[in-house]
Amino acid sequence: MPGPAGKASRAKAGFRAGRVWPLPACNGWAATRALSICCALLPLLALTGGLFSSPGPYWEYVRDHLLRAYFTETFLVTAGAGLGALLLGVSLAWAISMYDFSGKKFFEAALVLPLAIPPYIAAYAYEGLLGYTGSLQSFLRNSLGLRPFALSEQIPAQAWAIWIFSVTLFPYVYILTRTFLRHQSAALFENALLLGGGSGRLFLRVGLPLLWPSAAAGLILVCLETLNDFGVASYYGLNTFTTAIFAAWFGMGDADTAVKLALILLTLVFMILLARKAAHKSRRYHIVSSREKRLLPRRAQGARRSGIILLCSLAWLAGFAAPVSQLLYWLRLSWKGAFTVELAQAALYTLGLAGGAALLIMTAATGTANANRLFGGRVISPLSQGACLGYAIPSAVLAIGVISLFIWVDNILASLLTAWPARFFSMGSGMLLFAYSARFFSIGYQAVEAGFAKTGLIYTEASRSLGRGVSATFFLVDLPLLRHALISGSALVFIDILKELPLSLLLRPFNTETLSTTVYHFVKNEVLEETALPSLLIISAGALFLLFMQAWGKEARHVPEN
Amino acid sequence: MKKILLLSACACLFSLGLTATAGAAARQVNIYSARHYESDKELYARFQQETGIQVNVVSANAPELIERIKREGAATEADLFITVDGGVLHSAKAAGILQPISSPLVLGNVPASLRDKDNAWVGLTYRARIIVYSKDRVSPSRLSTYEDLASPQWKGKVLARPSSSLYDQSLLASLIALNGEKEALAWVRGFTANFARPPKGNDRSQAKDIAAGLGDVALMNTYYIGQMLNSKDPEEVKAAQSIGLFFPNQKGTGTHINVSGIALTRHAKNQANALQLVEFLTSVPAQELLSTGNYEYPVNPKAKTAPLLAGWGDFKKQSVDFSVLGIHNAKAIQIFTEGGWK
Repeated sequence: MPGPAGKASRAKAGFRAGRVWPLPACNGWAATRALSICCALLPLLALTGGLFSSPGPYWEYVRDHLLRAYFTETFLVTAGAGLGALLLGVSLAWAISMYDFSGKKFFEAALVLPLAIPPYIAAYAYEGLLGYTGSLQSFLRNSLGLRPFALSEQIPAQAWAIWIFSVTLFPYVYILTRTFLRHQSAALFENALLLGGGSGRLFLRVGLPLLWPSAAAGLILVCLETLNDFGVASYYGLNTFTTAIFAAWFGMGDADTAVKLALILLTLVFMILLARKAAHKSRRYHIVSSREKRLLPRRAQGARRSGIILLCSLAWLAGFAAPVSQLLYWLRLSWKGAFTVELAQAALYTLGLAGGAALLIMTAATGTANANRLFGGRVISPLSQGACLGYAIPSAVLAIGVISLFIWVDNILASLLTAWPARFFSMGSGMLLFAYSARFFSIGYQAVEAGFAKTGLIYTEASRSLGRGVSATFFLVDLPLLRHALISGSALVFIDILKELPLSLLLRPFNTETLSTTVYHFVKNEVLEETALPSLLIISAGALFLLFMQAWGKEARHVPEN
Repeated sequence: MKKILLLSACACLFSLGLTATAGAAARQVNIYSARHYESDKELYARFQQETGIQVNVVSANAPELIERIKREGAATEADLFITVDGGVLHSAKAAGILQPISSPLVLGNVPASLRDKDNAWVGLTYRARIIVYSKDRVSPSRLSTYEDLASPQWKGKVLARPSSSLYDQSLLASLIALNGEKEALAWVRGFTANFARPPKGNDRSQAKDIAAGLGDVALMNTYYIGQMLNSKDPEEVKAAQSIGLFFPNQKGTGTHINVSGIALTRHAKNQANALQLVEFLTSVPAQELLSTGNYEYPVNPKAKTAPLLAGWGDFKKQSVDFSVLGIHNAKAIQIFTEGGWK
């Protein structure tokens, strides 16, 4: 850490150079950043060993016959899901932030709940609901005597996938946009209204440009999760990059082709992340004033009120109530003997893992984001975007990277220390925790970065000018301002780990199950009704956590008020 | 700050390895398994009770487990590898991660046709992939072979799951071996042209969609029919009751069967315990439990087949060597793509 005199001079230098402060020789923040980025990138590097080897036996076939289809279908589903989630998320967040209407309190909380539902479970539940033996059709057939029909079969698989992703993932956009708007100053909106703009113009000219960075952060999470998905795509038989990577590696046994496909996917994702970064680099979106006046919602009237209530109800129904009601129907069939000691153990293990990993990730993300905003760095800042790539590659591929890395570390340690226990790192829950962290670092990082973007540097700079060190400033000034971002970030990470399947499946230690692997075993055996209890446990844990975080988050204040 | 960082780094390192060292029992056997059935768990518990050997299991998808064992190399903890497809067992053998099973007891329990020719793996159970049809709309006299499902009489009547399913990949691999690539491609083209809807869902979905009237015929594994007939969901039971079972190719090459097998890994640390478990799993009582518990056919000819399966009668089985399913798997995936079966 630099001495007090050095700090003051660096702070001054910092003001001159805009946001880039010189890098101190030895700095805990920079070290945390370097460590986090290394940890997130190493499993990816472990995979690229075969990159420069000669093309795999199926590469030419894949390139000539399949690549175009992979691009088209991946683009279609990702763009469709992104657009759906964006429209839903932004319109819901806008409606709830700008208007008062009956049931608003309920919807405000309830609209985050779809995030607690893993998309693959939603896909099965929808099929169960609308399929032939589903609760809806059984009721129509048995109670009303209607002839069987095939509602779910009339819709193409791509449309189903887009629907499932849109209705389960829109809360990413909703939460981030709503959080932003809740803490937004009323000044801009009031001025716009005074100048004679209607509601539509207010949204397009003032609202949208302001909320775009938050909505875009949510949109990126939706796109990355869609790109990475295997469960939904394989259920609907889609040819996306992820299913193609699985087919090449695990089906054709051609790891080189799989790595090449994964790299194309990674390049796409990296470009998306950089494009977003570049687009928002030069703008400031935070309004800081000591005379902050909050945005006050107006009472919605007439058709607008009905429209808002209808939109909120449909989104909640489609993303949460419909799949959950199907799971409850299944639970009614399977509840006998469903609650076992193993299930309780799986639940506790899952909660422990999710909590531990959320803590690790938020620490690493905060360290990295703080170092980035204070010290910048031409090379290392883009590398932090690179560290977010773990979120975009198929988890099973990441899992193999993590195993390779841990075996390598264990082997090195074993060769150096004779007393080193074999497989010390590579058989424990630690490997799974590490893999979760590499995978979900992006979620935590995006949340913290958005939080820092909102508060800006002004308080930090003030504190530094008054002689506080970087760390003291962080704990006394930045952390309280960042609290809300940390809360929503850890909630998202926690929920994502509850839902995570491929890493948990391959990397968990002997004789342990998580809730999602328990669901998976039942799905694999095609006994969907048995998935009800573990699925509902995942959903309730996630939902409780989301609601708790939301209630707590409301208390948080980004900007001090007079 | 530096001290805090250093301390937390140390704490992280040790927590990372914490669970790895815990519970290293002296008498144990470690399994990487791609089977997820309750009957398996019950058998492991019985074995543990009878022998005092602790059974440790990680269950996941077979290809990923193979990749994991490969990457772990000599350091692997896995003693046994269990999976549900002859092709996958062949891939594991080809990957060099297995060693032959030499126990005379095991080789006596499992007939040569249901184990690898070098005994790199032995069968645990087998299942047939058969044609199911609507009892209301299809007379079984119209059914004959897999190949016939590509004929124009089934236009708009065939239901199928996505070709990413290993069950269909292995069926096609066997047809490649029996009829050649050209015929196999022609079959996929004809079969695909008969689809009632784009491929979707799992095996059970096909039976349900027959019941819904979406199509008339589909391919299905035998044990799923047993499970559906005994499902907790009354609607599934009704759907299963509405479909008929047909074992195809009885006058020719026989019905396609696939094997569920167990193998000893090359770097197994607990070999004696592992072999003892294989002997136990292929013994008559365990085989009968596997059959009744999961509606699979036992590999041990002395074991009784579950009454439901026995009721379906004996049938002529495809005599293709199981390694063929692995050898032709990649070709099968290509042919599916070329033939338009998504």
